[in-house]
Amino acid sequence: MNELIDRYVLAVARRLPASNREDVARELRATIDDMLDARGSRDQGAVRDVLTELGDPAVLAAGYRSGPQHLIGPEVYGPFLETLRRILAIALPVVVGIQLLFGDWGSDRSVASIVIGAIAGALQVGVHVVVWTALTFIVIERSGAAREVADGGEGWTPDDLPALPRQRQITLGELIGAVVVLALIPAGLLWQRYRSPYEEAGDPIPLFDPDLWDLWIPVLFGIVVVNLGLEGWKYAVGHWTLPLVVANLAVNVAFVGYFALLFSREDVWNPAYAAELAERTGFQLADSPILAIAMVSIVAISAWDIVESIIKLRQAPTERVLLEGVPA
Amino acid sequence: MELDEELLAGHVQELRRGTVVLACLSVLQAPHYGYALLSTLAEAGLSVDANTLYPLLRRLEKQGLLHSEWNTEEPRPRKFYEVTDLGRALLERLATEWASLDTTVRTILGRSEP
Repeated sequence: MNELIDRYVLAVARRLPASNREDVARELRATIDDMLDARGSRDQGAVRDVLTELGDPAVLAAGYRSGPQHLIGPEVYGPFLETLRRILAIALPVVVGIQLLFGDWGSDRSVASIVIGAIAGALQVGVHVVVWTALTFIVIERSGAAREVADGGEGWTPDDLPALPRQRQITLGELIGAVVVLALIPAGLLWQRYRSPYEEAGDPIPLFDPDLWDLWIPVLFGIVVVNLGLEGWKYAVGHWTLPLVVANLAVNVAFVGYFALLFSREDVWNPAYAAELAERTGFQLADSPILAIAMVSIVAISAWDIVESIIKLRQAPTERVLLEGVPA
Repeated sequence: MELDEELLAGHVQELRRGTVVLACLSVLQAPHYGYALLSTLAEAGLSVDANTLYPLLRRLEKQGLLHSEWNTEEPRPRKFYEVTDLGRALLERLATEWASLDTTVRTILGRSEP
């Protein structure tokens, strides 16, 4: 007997169930002998040729086994991914939210360490969700329930089709976020007018030059109102359209232009406030880079807003095609 | 246009897959042991890998289409396979199916010829 053949037969046999292991091994041995006869040689080279032709013992053994050769087969792969996605979409935000909410804020732990803790917690939960969902689906696959899961048990009919996604491109959350940010502008201006750390004869000294209220600040209120109108229009349409992108561009240009003009033409700080501040803290408002930083930020935010609207305009047709079946 | 060898092999294998069962059932109307069946098929022009054929024979046996018997009279014991009545019935149906498929495909190929 040849050692290489013994090793091959054993490598196949040990991968088979006990019920047919011996029978398959015996037949395999006879087959190898027949193949060697056909070659007219029993030397080591011929043996190697024959075994190479039979191929990887693991593959050969897999052919004999009848059960599924995969953990999660094509029938349940889709439902598996869908389940995973749904659980993660709920579990992860909840875990992060809880950890941030009940984080150790009182102690001297830094904000960063609490945030990192929340992310680590989310990762841990994520791994658990993936592992347990996978195990559940492996059981479903093995128990033969796979076909039922795949077709919902009763066989598929067109009624099983999911409803079309009516997902808005511009969500209510986005609308609320934009309104809150915009509302901060008039709120801040009014606040600085009536609340100030410095007083003169019982009256607060505003941060910004009171003369601005004659023209500049009302104009800014006007721009904010137009902006609010644009946000409302965006939400009403639900997705970006060309008129919306153009209007958004105009509003952003107006916003940037307004501040560029304001900062270049007017001394926005209230001289009385600047004097008071300089006297008490030595901080010179006029020399500070605050306005420059503000200008750069305004330009950056507006530029991004314009770019984003164009990107989203390009994405919007996909949804329209899906809903109307006609390429735009 | 260069046809990728691997791509070609994959599609040829796909095309041949079902025909192996038909050919096996047909040859096994007379008892054969595995290697003899393999050689017979190869001579006829249908080359099947040993590591495909042997597991296939087991599956067909499990489905009751073949039955097997060890012949220990020869110096080398061999497992002989032969179709059962069920296997013969299936062979007839498959042969009919093959003939109709052949006609259909020929018709389609003929119609599409430039």
